[in-house]
Amino acid sequence: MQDATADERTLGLGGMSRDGLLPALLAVAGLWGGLAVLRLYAWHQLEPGWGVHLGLLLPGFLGLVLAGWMATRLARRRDHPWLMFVAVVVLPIFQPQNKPGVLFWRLVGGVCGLALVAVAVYAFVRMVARTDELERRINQEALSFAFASSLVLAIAYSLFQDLLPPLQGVWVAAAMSATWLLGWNVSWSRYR
Amino acid sequence: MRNRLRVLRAEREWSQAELARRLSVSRQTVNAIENGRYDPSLPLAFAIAGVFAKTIEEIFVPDARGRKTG
Repeated sequence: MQDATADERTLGLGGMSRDGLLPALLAVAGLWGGLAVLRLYAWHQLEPGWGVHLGLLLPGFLGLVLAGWMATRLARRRDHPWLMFVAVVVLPIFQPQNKPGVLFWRLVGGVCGLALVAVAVYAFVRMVARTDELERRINQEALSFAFASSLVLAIAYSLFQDLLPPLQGVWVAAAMSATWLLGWNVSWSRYR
Repeated sequence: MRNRLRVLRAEREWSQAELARRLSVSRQTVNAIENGRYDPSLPLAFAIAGVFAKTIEEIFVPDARGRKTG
């Protein structure tokens, strides 16, 4: 007869599966690398006389395709903690001041980013809705933990605002995702 | 809440995964219920009772200490 933890392959920290580690790291690497190369390409596009350079464009898009592929694999495995990990790590990439200076491209970047976030949130909510009652409870507890700890962090920041550097919006989003991930692991361990 | 899930499962020689499959829940959920870390919802308790052809009272017993786990 199968024992309590015989069919579980976790990393030992909460319920993060070992099988999700590699796809998550590849998704992060693909997104970071792909966007870095495309950003470089976009900056060069602003220079007069700079044509289409497939040498930069192609690796950039390949990085994004790799990230999308790996994220899809995680989503199919319903490995939402690892997806949240990917979000925590890649969110800081999206900083408005790093976008090319042309207003049009800033708008395009913003709209694309917003669409991406909407799709990701929708997929995440659907994924959680398909889980069983214990997993939903763990997610609820993680969400409660994330809300409470984000609130405390926000209050702490506001108290020391004059002494601290200005806060980036993406860092708030990354911190909220990170606290969700922490809460999820703590909650998962409670019911193990 | 205490329960006889492990005993009933052992009588039928079912693994946790097998029981989880019959109940359409994750194996972790079965494990958490067996270990008394999680009290199932009423629909899941009825499903468990149905799988073992027992009543809920024959499987789940209120904890004497009245501790709430789930």
